Amino acid sequence: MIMNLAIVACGSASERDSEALRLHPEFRKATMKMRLVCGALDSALSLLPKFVMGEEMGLVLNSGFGELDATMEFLRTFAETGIARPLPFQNSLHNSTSGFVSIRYGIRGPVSTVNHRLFGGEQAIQAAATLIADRQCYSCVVVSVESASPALADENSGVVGASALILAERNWATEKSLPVLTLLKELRCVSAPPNASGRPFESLLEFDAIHQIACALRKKGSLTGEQRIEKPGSCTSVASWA
Amino acid sequence: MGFESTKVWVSGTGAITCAGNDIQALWLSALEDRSGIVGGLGVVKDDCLPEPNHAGVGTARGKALRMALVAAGEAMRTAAWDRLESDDGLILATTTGQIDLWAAALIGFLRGQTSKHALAEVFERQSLGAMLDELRRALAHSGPSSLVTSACGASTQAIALGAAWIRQGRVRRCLVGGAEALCALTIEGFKSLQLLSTENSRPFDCDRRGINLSEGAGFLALQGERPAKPLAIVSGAAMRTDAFHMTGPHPEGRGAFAAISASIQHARLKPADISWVHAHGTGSELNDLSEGFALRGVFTKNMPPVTSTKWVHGHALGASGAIESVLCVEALRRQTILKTCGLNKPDTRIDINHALAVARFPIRHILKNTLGFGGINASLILTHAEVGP
Repeated sequence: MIMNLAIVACGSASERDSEALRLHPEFRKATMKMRLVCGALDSALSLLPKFVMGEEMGLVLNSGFGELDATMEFLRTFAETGIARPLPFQNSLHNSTSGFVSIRYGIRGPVSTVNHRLFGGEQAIQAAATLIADRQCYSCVVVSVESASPALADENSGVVGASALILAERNWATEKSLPVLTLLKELRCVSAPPNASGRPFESLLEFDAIHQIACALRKKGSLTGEQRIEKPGSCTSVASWA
Repeated sequence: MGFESTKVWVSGTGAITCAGNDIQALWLSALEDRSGIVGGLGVVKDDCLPEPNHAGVGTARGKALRMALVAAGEAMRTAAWDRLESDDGLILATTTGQIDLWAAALIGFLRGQTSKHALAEVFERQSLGAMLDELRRALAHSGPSSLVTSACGASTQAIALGAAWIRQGRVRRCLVGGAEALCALTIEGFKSLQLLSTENSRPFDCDRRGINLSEGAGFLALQGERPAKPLAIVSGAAMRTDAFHMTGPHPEGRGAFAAISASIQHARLKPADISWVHAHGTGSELNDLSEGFALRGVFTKNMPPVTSTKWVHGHALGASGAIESVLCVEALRRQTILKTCGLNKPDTRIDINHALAVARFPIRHILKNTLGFGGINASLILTHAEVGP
């Protein structure tokens, strides 16, 4: 898919960043994934001059497991006591993470949540590009967040964390005096994307497009040429940089 | 914000709900005041769905997928599409996906009754994207695809994205829709929020008792090239967010007002051009008030008739936007608007023009509005095939 989008900031957060936010009053009712996404977005926004998000900013969040821990807590309590608790239900919705993030940052443009175990990052970037091209917003946060469920994971449970990119229509970024780190020209899936990974309980964040692009940007500062995003099962996508 | 000019035609539609196994049955239920709600819930009978273990596929299919196959099949048939090509898109919306295939095993695991190995065998389907993959396999689809899971606004967002894919030339045609199956998580969860009614919902009524959860699927076949028998045009769409509360809408409908206004602008129309509003209208007090405020704010003195059909088919969460968009397409085709069943004593705080009777008149443009948890607001403008923006 041809995009020509500016990446103006990137950020990531780890389990340790999430723990640091745990006792903050704003995060009293938040799940770990909500804290992870906010940690990644705070890290990305720290690189930018302050600007109001409002209706010009969108958000597309990707998570394969979603808020599975909240779902498990809800189902466990209900199975054991027959009592349905509202907070775990509210937090168990797959889009509760993006709802929390939109409230915290005042994102009032389009907010959407996508899901795919292996190609969710690509879907999120492509959805953001569609929204920007359709003038639903001028800039869009794309974020992938993942953690294996503590009750199901074993010692090899994959990377826990979140990575965020702030994408923007190029002229808008210039008007807002935002730095353009790099231009994403195209993102294409080279192989058919099967969902099954053979690792049903593990986080697959390390294979995620948003995570890999954010890591590469942090390491190199800017990107040119092509970046291959390798995944389990010989699946690959390729990002092209202007 | 700017606009795209390529028309997006609706060439086919399909739906399965508790109020009918196809569009014709659903439309007649809505027209003749027949509800599929029993005891406060809208359940799709299993005997009208394909077998869980479909020959040649070899894997069990959840109810949501089976309903999706019925509705997608009807949409493709009415559009006269034999199959999906590699330059066709597929966008699916759902909030719980195939939860019926793994939740019981998870509860068994949590209770120590199911081994991790046994759980692993079904847990590959936990990811909502797994349902999209199974739908793609069943339809032999190899083109661009996506799964949207934005609560009750999911399938409206999916239609907006599908239309944008066509306008932007990413795909030639796009099959887009939503599917939702009832499960313990949503039923007990909504009960915990004290939102459910055991009676039929009564949207916009001052004696409302709450909402009716239901299941079902709705699909639309969209294309950039004018079909031989066009049903409607997707002429505008917009998505905005309240950024206010996790489950409650903004009390003055801030996000809904923004989405509705932006969708009308996106279609290059004015509020006075809208012939009918198909509202989200769940029958929860906060939803009704918020949506009413938003509609009054947009339409001021020129309020078109407003209808909610939730009394007929209930609230199918992520699938609701697609199911109700299918009804809107039927309304355009038949030049007939539906009434809000169950509305006897309108809530006087909601100052809108309730559609209290079925009516026939020239319908050019319909606004389909949806709200969802997480502050989601998504609106579509559907236009009569012979009008166009």
